[in-house]
Amino acid sequence: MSKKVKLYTLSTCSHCKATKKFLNENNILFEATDIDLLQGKEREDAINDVMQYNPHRSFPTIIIGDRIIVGFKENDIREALDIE
Amino acid sequence: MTPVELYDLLKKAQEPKGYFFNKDKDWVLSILQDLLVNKDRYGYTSCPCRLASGDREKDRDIMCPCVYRPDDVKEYGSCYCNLYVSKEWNEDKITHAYVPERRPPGKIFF
Repeated sequence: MSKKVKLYTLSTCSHCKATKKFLNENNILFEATDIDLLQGKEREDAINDVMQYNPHRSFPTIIIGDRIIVGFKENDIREALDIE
Repeated sequence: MTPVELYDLLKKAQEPKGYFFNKDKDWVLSILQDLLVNKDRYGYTSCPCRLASGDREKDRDIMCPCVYRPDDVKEYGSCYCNLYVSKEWNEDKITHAYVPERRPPGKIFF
């Protein structure tokens, strides 16, 4: 079964865009939340979620199964997804 | 202002200081476009790779070029966004390592 992939991103962040592009090119389904586009409680909740995974609250924060990857680290993402 | 105009303006100002744009011009123009989005959104050029608080004073350290750029370029050859890099980085004389966030968590307000 494929692992669940969740991203916390910013709509303006180059490394976030590169991560989404990489996943799309590899036909990986993912769910992404652009936190800078959220407001009010929704934004606050999303930031609190990110903090649980990455206390530094930097982007992208990538969750693949039970693995957390901070930043577009292509090799780590490949390894977590078992892609060559 | 367009990203290309901003590119020409900043290139002239930053290269003499030893900060070069990443040789991947598409990457650079995309970041400059997002810098203009942030200028519209917040009123100042907050780093597009970081979440801005929207408060100019609190975000002063992440206004591009951010205060972390000198240390990041010195240590990794590149700023956090891979926007500004050293000559050696562009010439592939040093490894293009991931640049971790240098901004102290205590300075992050949302």
